[in-house]
Amino acid sequence: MQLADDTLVSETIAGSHAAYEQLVSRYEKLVFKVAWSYAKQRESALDICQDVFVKAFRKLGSYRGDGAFRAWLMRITHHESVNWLRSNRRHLDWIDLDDVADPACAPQQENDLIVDETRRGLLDRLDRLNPRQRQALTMRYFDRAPVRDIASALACTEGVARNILFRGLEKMRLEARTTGRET
Amino acid sequence: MIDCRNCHDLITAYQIGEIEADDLVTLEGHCRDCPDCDALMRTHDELLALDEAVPLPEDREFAQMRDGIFSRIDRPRQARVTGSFWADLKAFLGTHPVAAAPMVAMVLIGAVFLGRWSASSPNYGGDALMQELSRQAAMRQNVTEYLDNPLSYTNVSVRPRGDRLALSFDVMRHVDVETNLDSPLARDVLLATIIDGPSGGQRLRAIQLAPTVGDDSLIEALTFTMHNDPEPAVRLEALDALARHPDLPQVREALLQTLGADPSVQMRLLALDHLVGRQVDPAILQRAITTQRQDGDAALLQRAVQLQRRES
Repeated sequence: MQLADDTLVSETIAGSHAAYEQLVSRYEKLVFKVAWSYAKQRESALDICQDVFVKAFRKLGSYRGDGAFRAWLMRITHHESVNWLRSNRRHLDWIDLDDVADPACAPQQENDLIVDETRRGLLDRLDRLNPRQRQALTMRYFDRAPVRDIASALACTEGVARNILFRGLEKMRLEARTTGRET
Repeated sequence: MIDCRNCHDLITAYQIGEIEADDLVTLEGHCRDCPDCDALMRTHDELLALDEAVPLPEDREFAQMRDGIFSRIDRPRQARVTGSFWADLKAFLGTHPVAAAPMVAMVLIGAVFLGRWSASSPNYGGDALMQELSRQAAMRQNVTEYLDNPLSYTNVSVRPRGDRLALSFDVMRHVDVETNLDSPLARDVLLATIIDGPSGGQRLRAIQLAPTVGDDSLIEALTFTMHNDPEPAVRLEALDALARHPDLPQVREALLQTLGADPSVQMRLLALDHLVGRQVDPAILQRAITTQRQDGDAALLQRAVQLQRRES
């Protein structure tokens, strides 16, 4: 049987690294996905991931233990990712450009490029959302988080969280139209 | 038929997976006639597909990341182990009081021996360890000796902390220490991180924090990283850092090699930009570009001509 997050948190605070390892294993993929949506490269996303879990470990004492560990961890993940973005923004263009192949590439590569282009377009549009919209959308689409958790992470009511989710989606649609990416 | 405002409520319900079957039919009907709402639904689908497209690391990479986490938060684990040893010892003495006297005698004899030994042996704790590290760092002439050094550093990382530098590395044992940016130890750990940092982010940060004065070891480390690092961003940062030393012939050679052989067209373009400003013979540039006949040679040759025209 899987132990509840709060039980593992209590055991971690009591000194059990094994308990914390279980928490890390449980959430590492989710934290990675969110970090990747900011960093757009695997190595850096893994770096952010590591920073998130080290920071979460050090701040476990401030976690209220109210059953919302996932939302609490998501707040740290967004915060660390934004910090990373601020200090590394100028390198992102380099990475993107490096993915661009020469015109003489094979047809399969061209298809990959189109897929990448769509993906990159989506990530760019996510970058243009305000932080709350972005956090709401990444929680919903990368984690299938229920509205209750999203509201908890954003410290708002569920009604407001629903509204933020919709506004985020609408802004992404409008951005797609502005940048001519709408299909 | 519903209007867009009502449709938005249905889209939100769809977004959070709480839509009723009847409402879904209504929503789909509306979207067939309304391109804006249809585009909203497509954005929703694209976001769902984005989740599927995230390039998740392999289990091995996650395991390495977990190792990194626990090496950074390891102190409490050691403290716990130590605590349980003393607890066990106390329990043992409680149940075997006769054993206490010989054990105390052994500890005392051991302490006397240790005291004599430490008076005549090098001390690798506290300040003495730092002095030994600094001495080793200062003696080092060349970064290629790094691997042969008995005090070579592993598990290295660096972080700026105000106007000082936080170093983290293993050398016989793990060490966390803060030191000045210009200390020999800082320089040494930075070089090791540039070459062998555990992640792209760490190597990138080390290059950014590396001294601006280019001695041979730094140039060697940057050149190695520019040619060999698997992360394009790190290679580009190394190239940028090397280009700050335009007068060194070894930098010029390294840039020519990148121009000729780097798999990334972007790296080759940047190398070309730096080389053209240095009045390199156009024939040498042309030869370097076409050495390996890679994709992008034509574009690079064209750019070389443009840049040279602009320079002249």
